[in-house]
Amino acid sequence: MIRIRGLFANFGSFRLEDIHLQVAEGEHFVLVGPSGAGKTLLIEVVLGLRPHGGGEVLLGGQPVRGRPVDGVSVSYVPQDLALFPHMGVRENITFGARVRRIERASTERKLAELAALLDITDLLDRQSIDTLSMGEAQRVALARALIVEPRILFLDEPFSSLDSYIRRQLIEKLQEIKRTLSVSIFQVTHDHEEAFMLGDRIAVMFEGRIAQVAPPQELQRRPATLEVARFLLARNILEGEVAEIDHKAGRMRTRVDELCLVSEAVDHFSPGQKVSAVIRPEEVHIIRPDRLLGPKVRENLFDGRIERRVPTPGGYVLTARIEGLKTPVEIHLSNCAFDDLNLARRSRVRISLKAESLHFIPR
Amino acid sequence: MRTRRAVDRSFSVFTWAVLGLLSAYISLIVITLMAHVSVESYGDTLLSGQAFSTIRLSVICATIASVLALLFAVPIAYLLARKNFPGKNLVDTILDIPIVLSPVALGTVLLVVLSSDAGKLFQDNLVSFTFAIPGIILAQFTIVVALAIRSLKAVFEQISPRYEEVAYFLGCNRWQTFLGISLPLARTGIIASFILAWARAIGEFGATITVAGAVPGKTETIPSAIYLGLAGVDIQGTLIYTLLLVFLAIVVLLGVRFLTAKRSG
Repeated sequence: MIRIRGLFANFGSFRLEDIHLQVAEGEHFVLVGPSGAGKTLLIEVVLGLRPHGGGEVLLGGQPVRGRPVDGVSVSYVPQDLALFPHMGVRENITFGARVRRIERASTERKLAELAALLDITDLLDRQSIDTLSMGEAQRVALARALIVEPRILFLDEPFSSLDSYIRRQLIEKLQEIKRTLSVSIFQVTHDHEEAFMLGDRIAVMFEGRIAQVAPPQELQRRPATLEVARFLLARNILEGEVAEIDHKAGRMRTRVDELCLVSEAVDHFSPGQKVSAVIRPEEVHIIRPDRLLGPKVRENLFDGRIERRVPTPGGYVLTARIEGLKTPVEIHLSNCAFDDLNLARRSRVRISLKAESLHFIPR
Repeated sequence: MRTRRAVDRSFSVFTWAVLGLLSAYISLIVITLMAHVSVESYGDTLLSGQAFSTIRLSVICATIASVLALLFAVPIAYLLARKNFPGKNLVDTILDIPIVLSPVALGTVLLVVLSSDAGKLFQDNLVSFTFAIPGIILAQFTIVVALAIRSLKAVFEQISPRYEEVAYFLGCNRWQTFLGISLPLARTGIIASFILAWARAIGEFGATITVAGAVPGKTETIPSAIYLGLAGVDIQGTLIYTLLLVFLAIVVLLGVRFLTAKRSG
């Protein structure tokens, strides 16, 4: 549906460099990155709103050369929504259908369906969009984009200005839309939670370059670079050196400070190689003293001490010091697990860095 | 030591005093103007057939010139606001020339052009401008079109191109985008621009009298009637026409304020 090969584009001192992406029919593709990464510029280049210097951009099989392509049904919801201020809600939503001379009865039927899907039936008769809340305006903009039944829907930071409660509601709405309508979605966001909840595949972008493209689970467990790992909040990054690889047994030992981490072998690593061991805070486990240890937990089980605990809406963020490790580790616990473990500051604990949760990035 | 509150108060007093002074000065001019006109003179001047013809000619010419100016200014201002192209600065500067030139100088240039061979050919076969009503319209149009372009360019620049981009993807062609989105969004700005152009056109004197002259009953507009009245020592008539221009200016400026306030509100 969208194919980008070797894209280059210069915008003053900023440039998009060597971008390769492909979005399949019906796929929800999310481009995520920090502010200023060039996400909006890329979406504008793909839409043909900005010229590119080199490479190839194909939209629905047609080349994009600095101007929007004809003949491919595309809808675009920009970050500021751009609802037409001189029209009411109904006129805004049906604008595309009127311009395309879609039969009135068909438009009304589609309008009713979309309004029900997006919970905006009560808003249809509003004569001014000024009376809409941000969340309502977002849903109206989505309805306006969807009424023309686009093959590709481009969403530029659609939920960025919403509070977290409304954002979560709209993310669920968008999931429902994905299930109900067969439309390819190319979405840009800086919020990785949104990206993980919605994306079939996610591309991570930094400073005009794509760092990694992968499905959410792979991205979370196997970040390609330290930059990606840090951006996706893999807070525990431990620097070490490969000590031993047993390719036959498929095991690898990595020395990190005074510890030896056991993990699955990485084919292209060799002993002596400098690596960073990455483990997400949710994957670090505190083992109850009375718990019987299975084989998975027995490896990489270390003594440590709780240094800090910070409550969060869903539980606790703990900082623990593992004996023999210079860097403290961050652990995320649910309220329930925290209460169960009965942890106080300075508590001595056993901490498991499970082999299957460890991911290694060469330095 | 003076407190910050006292300093703040002095600033407030200063700004209010400046406002009061200038408002009083301009009000004094208008009140003096009104005080010097006898009640009988209003009737004598305004009810005369010549005054009616002068006012009618001024209103008609200013309206036609302003409409023509907007017909050119709207697409030009839109293009200048939306597109970058080689030589844009040069084109922009050329369009500003009527603003920079004094009206009499501009009128002289127009006369020279109209007196050239091509100008004569045009006048002989199509429309005659010199010392004729079309000359008034041409002079007023030339003066106000640049002003209209300036003000409308600012209007279009304030409208986010996102609206047009979204409309384009919803299926509009460029004409539909312009007519259905850009123009309605610029509506109050266009009306305000028209009113300002009209106000400038109705008060235009230098270029108009140079190109069209001031033939009573034929090409005499309100500003040229003021000039002729002064030259003929008809002070009462001059002041009444001046008051008429003041009245029109107040109506027009209040109209612009109302429209722009509505737009920003």
